Amino acid sequence: MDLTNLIPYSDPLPLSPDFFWVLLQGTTVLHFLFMNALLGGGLILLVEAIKVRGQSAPPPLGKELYGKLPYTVAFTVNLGVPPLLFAQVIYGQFLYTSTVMMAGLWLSIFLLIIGTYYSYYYYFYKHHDLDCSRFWPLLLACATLLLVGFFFSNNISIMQTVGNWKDYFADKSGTLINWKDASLIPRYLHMVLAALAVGGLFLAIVAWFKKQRGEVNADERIRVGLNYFGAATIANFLIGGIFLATLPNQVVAETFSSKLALLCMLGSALFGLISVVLAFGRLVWPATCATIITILLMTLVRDWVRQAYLSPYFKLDSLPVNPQYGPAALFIIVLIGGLAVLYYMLRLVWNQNKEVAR
Amino acid sequence: MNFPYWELGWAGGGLLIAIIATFHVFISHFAVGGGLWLVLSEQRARKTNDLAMLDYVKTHTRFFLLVTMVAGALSGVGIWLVISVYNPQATSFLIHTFVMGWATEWVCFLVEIASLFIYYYTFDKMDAGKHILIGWIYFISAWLSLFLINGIIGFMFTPGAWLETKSFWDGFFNPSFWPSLAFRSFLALMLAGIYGLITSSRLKDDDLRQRTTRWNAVWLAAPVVLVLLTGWGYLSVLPELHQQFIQGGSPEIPPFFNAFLYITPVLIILGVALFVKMPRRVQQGVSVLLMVLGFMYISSFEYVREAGRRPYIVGGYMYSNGVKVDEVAKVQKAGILNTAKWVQIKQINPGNQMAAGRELFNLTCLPCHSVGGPLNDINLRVAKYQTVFAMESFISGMGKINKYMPPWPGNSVEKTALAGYITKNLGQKKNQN
Repeated sequence: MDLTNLIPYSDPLPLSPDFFWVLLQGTTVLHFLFMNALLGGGLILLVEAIKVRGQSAPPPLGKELYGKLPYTVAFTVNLGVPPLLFAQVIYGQFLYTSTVMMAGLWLSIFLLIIGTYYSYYYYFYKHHDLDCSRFWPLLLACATLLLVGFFFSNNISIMQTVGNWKDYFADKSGTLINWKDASLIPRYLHMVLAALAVGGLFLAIVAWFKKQRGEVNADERIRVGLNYFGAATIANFLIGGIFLATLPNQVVAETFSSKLALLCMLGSALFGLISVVLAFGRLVWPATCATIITILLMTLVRDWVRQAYLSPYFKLDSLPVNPQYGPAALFIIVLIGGLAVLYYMLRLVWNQNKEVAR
Repeated sequence: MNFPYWELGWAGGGLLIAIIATFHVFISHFAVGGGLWLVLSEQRARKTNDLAMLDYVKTHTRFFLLVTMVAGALSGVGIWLVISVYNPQATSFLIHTFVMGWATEWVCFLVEIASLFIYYYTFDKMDAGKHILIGWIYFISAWLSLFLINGIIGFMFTPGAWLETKSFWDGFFNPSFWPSLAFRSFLALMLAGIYGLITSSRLKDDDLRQRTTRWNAVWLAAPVVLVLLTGWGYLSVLPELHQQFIQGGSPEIPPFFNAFLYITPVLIILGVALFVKMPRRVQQGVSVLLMVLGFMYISSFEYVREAGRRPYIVGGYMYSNGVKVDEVAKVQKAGILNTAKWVQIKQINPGNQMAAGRELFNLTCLPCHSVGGPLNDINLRVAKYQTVFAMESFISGMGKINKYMPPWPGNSVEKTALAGYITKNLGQKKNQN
């Protein structure tokens, strides 16, 4: 079977693929930051809750973490929309195909996230009443998020491994899991560990703000958060190495034949290392900056790896384009307006909090 | 034909889309109308210095947040996920054509989320004027979301001049854009009243409950009249053929269209009845009844809109089986099996006739029909065709005699294979059972 014949044609794009590529990378970084804080924050809360399980102790790590998680879900979902949208525009012919192959699992995602959302809200409103059994909503929230993460990894894995697409003919029930892809599990674990690390950083950042308001336990929480961050990042060097080793030779060779991709890969490892050193030095903001740079560089490398996977069948600059500039201008104007409104509202809240503190 | 298909069987015929979409629109319209309800109710309470009412508005905001931000937002994403697995061809087309519209809507969604959280979490903390301003920001961004999505949904029914120009703006501001926007806006206000009654009828303070119930009854009853008027305007801009389908020409639409018409006066009557002072339990019962009726009302409208669009998924451009109108002749000449990318049988011979028939069924029938399921069950539709010849005759008449179905996109050998598969495996099997 000639696999090239299976690949659907792409609908024409309304602007250059490069425009959407830039939007895809930018919004993916934002989504990763929130998604990692959400999953990692939940995992840390769960671990801490397990430590005091059965005791009628106050909730571990306090309101500063669990109070933020419900609306982190909302922003994670919201910021997940543009990367999926732009990925469908650029890689649609591959992405829709893989999505149909695992349609049943894919559809369960929104139900699972509703489960996550209500679990976090339940914990938020009821943790005092739940007392010893408050471990359960956290477990449910983390389990659902871990499943969602796995389904996303599976979808990307199927999308990229065109060679495995013929498995569809044996099973059209929409439950395909790409076990044949050796990089599936390392890819998933790499994302989960990154989430744990960023979750720790998220805790440290929130505690840092509390510290500015003179809260006594804040230093301890900064320490706990940064320790999670450091340990998970170190472990991720190992998993990341295994992930790299499981990629097909052709993909690795093609990706890193580009000096820019190689530089970004090395840069991400370097900044990852720097972020660990800064974290163990209790420097919250410098560690955060180094982490954001790491995630940005890793996101770029991730996309180039994807293009190397698809290179026998796909070139970014060969996508059909029927240019229409007006709608893009509308988007940019609304985006600038929307960000200005967000800034204005956050300033109102900030000033309000300052007045209350006074 | 471009993408693989999900072999659903029982849940085919768009069942999952129908479930998720009706659930979503029932909440998402509330998210718009309820936004105006929040800010006007707060303004009213503050103006009259009614602290009890203000407290009620705050309680309702929490309910609003939990319903719209969780179930509403996530089911919206759910629609996107489900249409991309049911009909990837049409989804890809809509995403590529309106990507900047979707992206703009995402910005509105972002502002919506942020403003609603701020509105709720600063209810008693922020200066009243600024708090109300945040409420207005929420409502405007929510309504703009409706404005944008309405343009794209309307395009699918009435693409208008886009068919000639392929311009984003012609597609967006299509012939049904304004009537549909007005209709949906009034529907949203009506739902704000219905949801408001759920929370107000639970209030224990008798006086407050009567006041808030009357306030919500106004939100319910007044917009329903306008829903009916704009609904009529909406119907009148649809192509004549689709108006006929909706008013009785299609076998599946009339019960839903009639349900919409009959529920309208019931909503008005119950809304007016709520002005009469009633015991708490009775008000609660009426509120739940209104909620159920409201759900049936909006579900029936959405079903009529979806089914009324047939045989197209994008009016005049793409049929519901994913074949573009201007490609039908080409596909008929080459054959479906030779055109479709995701089939293993390319040539039909006596040994693979049934297997080929099944492939053809999955490609051309499954997008609209279930097999033994609750929506558009193929077994019921084909039960009366007992012979291959009769079935073939029906298929030949598609798009000509049965105009709510797309024309048969394949060649005559494929038609015989499909007819053979259907008569052997579907209608008769059902009869034997």
